[in-house]
Amino acid sequence: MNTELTRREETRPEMVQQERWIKPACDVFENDNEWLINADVPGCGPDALKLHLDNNELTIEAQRGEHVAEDFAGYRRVFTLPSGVDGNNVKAELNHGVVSVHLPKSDAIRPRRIEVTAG
Amino acid sequence: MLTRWSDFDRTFAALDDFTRHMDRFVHDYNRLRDEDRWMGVGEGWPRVRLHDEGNQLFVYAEVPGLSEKDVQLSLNRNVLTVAGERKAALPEGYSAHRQERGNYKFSRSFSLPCAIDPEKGGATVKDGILTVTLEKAAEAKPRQITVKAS
Repeated sequence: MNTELTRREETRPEMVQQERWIKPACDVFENDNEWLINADVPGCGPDALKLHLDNNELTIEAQRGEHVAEDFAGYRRVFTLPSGVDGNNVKAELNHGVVSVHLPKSDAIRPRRIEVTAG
Repeated sequence: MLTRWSDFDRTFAALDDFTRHMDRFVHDYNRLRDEDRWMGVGEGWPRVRLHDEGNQLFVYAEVPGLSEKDVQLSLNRNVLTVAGERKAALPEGYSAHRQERGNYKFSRSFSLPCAIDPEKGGATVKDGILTVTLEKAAEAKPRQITVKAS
């Protein structure tokens, strides 16, 4: 069918077939030194996990593991980070299906104690 | 004649359009439901799957954050109970921006579809997935029946 109507449907870019990604439940914590993100990714081993930091966007992506209910491609969630994350020292660990991402604050925004000297 | 065919096509194109809109609606709805579930509203925690693989039954439960010590299993006749507690407390010295990972204290029981040999079987927890292996009782195992030529 190449009527005007069908043609328009077929060129509509947002109608591509999509894989289903699930947003994992996340906790976001902060202390003086860092931000900490914990995300539930049951069934994902360290190999299945991909973390990506691009400017101020952190992407947590994990391929779906075996024995997980339902059919989906994996877990994915994108966080927009505040300025002042020290991107070179980001660390992550995976523990019993929970991934923890430590985002240290750069020195410039860390709270500092100022010593008072007697004059 | 030509115009008539084009009318015909146009009708089907509109139907096509409608189908695609419905597909997208269903897709969006499902996704919304998933998100609800992850906020802890949906089907309960943990999510569980039961597999029958002939001689054995497998139970898989998604228990992120739990280790072997945090899960209690009991088998009473053919009812399996999975219990435990997941704590997602605020780590010391931190303040929270967002807390979606809930604290769960759970106990779920499942009637298994057949008799189980309580002496065999086992359970492991790996990467937040609890796997329970249950050996079927001898009388519940599937048997091959040979077909003979008459």
